[in-house]
Amino acid sequence: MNQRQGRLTQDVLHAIAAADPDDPARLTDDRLLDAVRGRPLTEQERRLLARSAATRDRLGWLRHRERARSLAAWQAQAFGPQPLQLLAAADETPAVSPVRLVGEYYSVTLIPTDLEGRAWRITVQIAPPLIVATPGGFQLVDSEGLVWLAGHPDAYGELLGFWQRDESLWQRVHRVRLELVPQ
Amino acid sequence: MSGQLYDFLQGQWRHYKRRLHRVCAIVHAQALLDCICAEGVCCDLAQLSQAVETWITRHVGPDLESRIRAARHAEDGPDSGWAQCLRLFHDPRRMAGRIARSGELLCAAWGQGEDARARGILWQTLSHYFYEARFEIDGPTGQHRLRNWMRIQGLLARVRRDLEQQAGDLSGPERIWTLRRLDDPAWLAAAVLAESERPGGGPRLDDVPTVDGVLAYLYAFLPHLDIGAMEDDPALAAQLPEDLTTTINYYIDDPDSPAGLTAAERAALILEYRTDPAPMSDRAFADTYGYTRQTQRNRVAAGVRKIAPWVCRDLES
Repeated sequence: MNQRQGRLTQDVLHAIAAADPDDPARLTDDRLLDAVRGRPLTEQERRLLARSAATRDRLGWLRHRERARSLAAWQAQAFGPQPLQLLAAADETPAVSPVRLVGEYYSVTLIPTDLEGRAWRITVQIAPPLIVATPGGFQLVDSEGLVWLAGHPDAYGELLGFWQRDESLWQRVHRVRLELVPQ
Repeated sequence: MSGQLYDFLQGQWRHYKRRLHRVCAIVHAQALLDCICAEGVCCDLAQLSQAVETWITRHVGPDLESRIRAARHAEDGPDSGWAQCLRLFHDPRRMAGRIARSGELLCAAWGQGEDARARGILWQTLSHYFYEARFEIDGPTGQHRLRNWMRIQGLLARVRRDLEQQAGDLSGPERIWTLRRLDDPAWLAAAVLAESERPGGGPRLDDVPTVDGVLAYLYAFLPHLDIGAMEDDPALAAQLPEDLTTTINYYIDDPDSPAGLTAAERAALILEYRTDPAPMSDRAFADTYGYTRQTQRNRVAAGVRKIAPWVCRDLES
């Protein structure tokens, strides 16, 4: 959803809320928190959410609270996963090849799945203590704000996904750093 | 004590805040801005005071009164919160004084057709007035909360300064991304708490010892939080029905849709939400499009009002 489409959606939903004199919360905090922690809303629940500004506000609050708690826990337990430098800007490595970066609490593996390097599989392996402190899930985000991967790790502590953009990943890895943050 | 404190911040006041935003910045903002801004310039303080008083008397007041009446007939009973909202409009002169401080920015944005920005500035300005009004009503308890907030503001300023220093060596998208943390309430709450616990880091937050507490204060006091905004929140937008965008677009694009948009309303919505025109003066707008910006705003508002009940009906089905 681009920004203008987002504003249209928001304005229509505001108009729906404005016509409702009370707008009660339509989903419980427990259910919303479950959604934040990775159990997706059903289609019917999504429709209830769209009809209620109060419920959207509540979801926003719970999501921020979960992230704030995770960030505070990371600080308190001195996790502080550092950003990972990918490839140096001066690196002129001509061939597209797998990249593996190992940090203190997570590692990132980028594997090309075609010869031209247009498609990539991205794997993040996350240390168990970090997973415990981050029930809302993770984002792998680069130093320019692009989210490479988001979600909850599987039973093996892995977050998996694929490069989804037209831009060449191989060019981008020479420019940015990657950082794991609470989602 | 802290439990009560957070209940207050997370409960009642946040409901009031959302309702005030809806009434002031969404439903009736245009009436006020059209009145106080002419050709991108704000009127003088005397006219502004009069305009605010008229706005409250003719627009906001009757709307709130009708909502109070509706709530009395519904299940919520008389304590639905709308009456408390109405009490906060007791000092139009002070409200006008607050608006005057940002009048130049506000009217420049409105005069250039940057409506979302103008509404944002208006809400930010009114928020400060409402906080003061609210804490006056609350007496000593309110003053206590206000003191806590002042401490948090001091810590926020340090966090901001430190991050801006860190971003000093950066440029382009990396700098923008780094500074966007200043708009992230979760990051701010954790950073403020860490700053308060750092030896020599500034005022300690004895009454707000947890990250939940700091976040609750940010939600209570920062104008843009807790008002249902999702324009810049992809994670929230991702929780909405997958076909919502398609549904809304259908009511705009299909001339036979039951929303019954006129051709002019449809064109206004397309201009507003699908094109990206540069900001321009009212005169340039009229020269470019052949009708006034006021007409454009009215058509957009009418179009959205026509679409909303049909989208709502689809969501209920």
